Amino acid sequence: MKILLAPVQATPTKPLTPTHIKGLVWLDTFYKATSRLHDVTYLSNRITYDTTAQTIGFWEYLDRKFPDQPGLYDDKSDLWIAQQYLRCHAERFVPSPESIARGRERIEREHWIHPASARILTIWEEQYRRLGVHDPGFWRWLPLEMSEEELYGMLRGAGSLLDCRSMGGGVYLDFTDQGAPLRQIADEHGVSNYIVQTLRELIPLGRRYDRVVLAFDEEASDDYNLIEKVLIHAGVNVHPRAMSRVPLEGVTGTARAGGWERYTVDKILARYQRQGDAAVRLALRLYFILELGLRSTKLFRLEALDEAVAEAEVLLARLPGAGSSPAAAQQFWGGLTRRSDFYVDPLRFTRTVVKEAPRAPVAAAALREVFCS
Amino acid sequence: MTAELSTHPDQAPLRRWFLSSLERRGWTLDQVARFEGGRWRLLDLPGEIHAIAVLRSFDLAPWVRETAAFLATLDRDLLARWDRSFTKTLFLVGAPEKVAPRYPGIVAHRAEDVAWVRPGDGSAHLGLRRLLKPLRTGAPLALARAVEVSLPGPPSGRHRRIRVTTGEPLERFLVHLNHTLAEGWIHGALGPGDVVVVEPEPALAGLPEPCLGARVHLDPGDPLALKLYSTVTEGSGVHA
Repeated sequence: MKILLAPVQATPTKPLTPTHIKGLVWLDTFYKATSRLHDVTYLSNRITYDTTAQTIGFWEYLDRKFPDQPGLYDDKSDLWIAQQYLRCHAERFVPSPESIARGRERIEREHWIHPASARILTIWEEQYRRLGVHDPGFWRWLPLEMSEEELYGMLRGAGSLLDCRSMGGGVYLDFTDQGAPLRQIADEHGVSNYIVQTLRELIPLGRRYDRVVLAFDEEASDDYNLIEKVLIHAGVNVHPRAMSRVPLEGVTGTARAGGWERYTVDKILARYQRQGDAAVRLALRLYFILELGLRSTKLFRLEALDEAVAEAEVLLARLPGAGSSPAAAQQFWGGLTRRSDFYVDPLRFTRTVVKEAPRAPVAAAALREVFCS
Repeated sequence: MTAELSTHPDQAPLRRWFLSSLERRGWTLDQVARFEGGRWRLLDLPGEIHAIAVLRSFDLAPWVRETAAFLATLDRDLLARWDRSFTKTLFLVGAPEKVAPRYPGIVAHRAEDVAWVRPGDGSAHLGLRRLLKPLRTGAPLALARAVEVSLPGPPSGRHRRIRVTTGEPLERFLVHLNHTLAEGWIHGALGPGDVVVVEPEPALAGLPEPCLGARVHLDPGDPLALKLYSTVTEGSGVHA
C-alpha cells in the first residue's frame, strides 16, 4: 500500500515550541512505524507553505526594515528572527497584492527562500537531529502540478466554487448547500490563500497514493473539513487527523502575539544537556504521545517532562539487548495494526513498546529504532 | 439639532431634500445620527429591518429589472416599514440556487445571479448571514454605458431617467442604486412597466427641477457636507 503522509508544515518564521514537538514526534512515529508495513512518503514541500501571504509578507517586512545587509541573518538566533516576526504583526504590516504575487513567482519558479527563513531551517535541522525526528526534506521545492485556474475549473465543475471575479470580488469554496459557511480562497485583489496551495498540491499528488493522511492543527478544522470534501470529490482517499495545540501557561491566542518565548525547543533541550540523546528522545515520546495525546488540551508542564526523562532513563537501562528472530519481529510488527487501521497508530505503538520492551527484545528493538535512532 | 450640517448656500437644496426625507419617515436628524469626533455616526434605529441581496455577479440592466421584480413581491405594509428603515439592504455574495432552497421562507425573489431576501430584523436573517460573506470588491467600478430597462409588469407608458454616481467600489454603488430604486418604487417615482434609462455618472452637479427622486447622503470626503448620489427624473423615451 502506498501512503502519503501530508502534514501542515510549520512556517520558518519563529522557533519550534511544544505544539510543534508534539506534531513532529507523532508524525515521526507514524512514518517510521508504518514504513515497516507499507510504502510511506512523508511530504515536505517549501512551495506550499512559503507561498502564503503571511510568510511572504514577513519576508517583505524584513527587506524593508533591513535593506541591503547581506549576511545579516547568518549569526542570528531563531528567537531574534521571531522578534522581528512579532513586530511585523504588532505593526500590522500588510504586504501589497503585487509583492505577494512577485514573491510567489520567485518561490515557485526560482525556489527562492529568504535568508532569515533559511537561517531558521539550518537551526531546525540541528534541533530535528536532537529530537530524533526524520527530516522529510527541509530544502525541497516540488512544483505544484495543478494551476490555480485548473483548480478553480475543477471546483466549478463540482459545483463548489463561487467565483465573484467578474464583478471584482473574491473566490470562495461554496458548500453552503451542505450548511458550511462560504470560505474565501482568493481575495478581491486576486491573492489566493493556503487552501488553494494545499489543494493545488494534494489533488494531483494524492491521486497517486492509496491513502493520504492529512495532519493539521485542530483550530483549522473548519478549513480542513472543506479541504477534505474537495479531496474526496477529486478522488483522493483522504484520512484527516486533527492535532490539538499544546497550551502554554500564560499564553493565549495566536502564536503571532508571542508569550511562548520561555518554551522554545532550544530552551527545552538545554534543560536536558546532561542526559543522553536517547533518553531525551524517548522522554519526548512518552510525554507528548502517551501523556498528552493527539487531541488533549492539557497544559504543557516542564516538571512532567522532567519526570518523563527520568522514566525514560530507567526504561532504557532495563531494555534487553538484541536477540529477536525475524519471525518474532514480523509477528510483533504485524500485531501493531488493528484490523480497522491501515497504519500503525503512534499512541498504540508507544503504549505497546513501552509495556513490552523490558521483557521482549523485539519490542526493545522497535523502541530503539523508532524513538531513539 | 442640525448645527453640524454645512450651511453653505450650495448645500441648501441638498440639505432641504435630506431633512425632508427624514421627516417624511417620521425621523429627526438627531434620532438617526450623532455627530461625534468630528464626523457623523449613523445610529441603530428602533424596529430597524433590512433586506438582503445575495449576488454572484453583477450586470446593470438585469440587476435593475430583478430589483423591481423583488420590490413587486413586497406588500404595502412591509414596504412602509422598510422605508422607515431607509430601505437598508445588505449585499452578500452567494449562489442564489443554493441559498433559495435553504431559506424558502425568507427568499422573496430569485433570478440567475441574484436572490432577494425580504426585509426582516437581524434574527430573521442570522443563519443566512453566518453562511454568506459581505460583498467586497477591489477596484472602483467602471460603468461607462447607460442601459435601458423595462421594469416587469404591463407597460405603464412612463419613462424615467435615473442618473447615479459611479467611481466607487461595486458594494458602494449598489447602496446608492438600491436606495434609489427601492425608495423610488415606494414613493411612486418608479413603478411596474416603467421604461427606465440608468446612466452611470462620475458625479452629479445638483438636484434637477423637477426631481422625482434622489439619494442625498453624507459626503465621506467632507464630514459636514451632503452629497448627491442619484436622481430620478422624467425620461424622454428616447435613449441615445
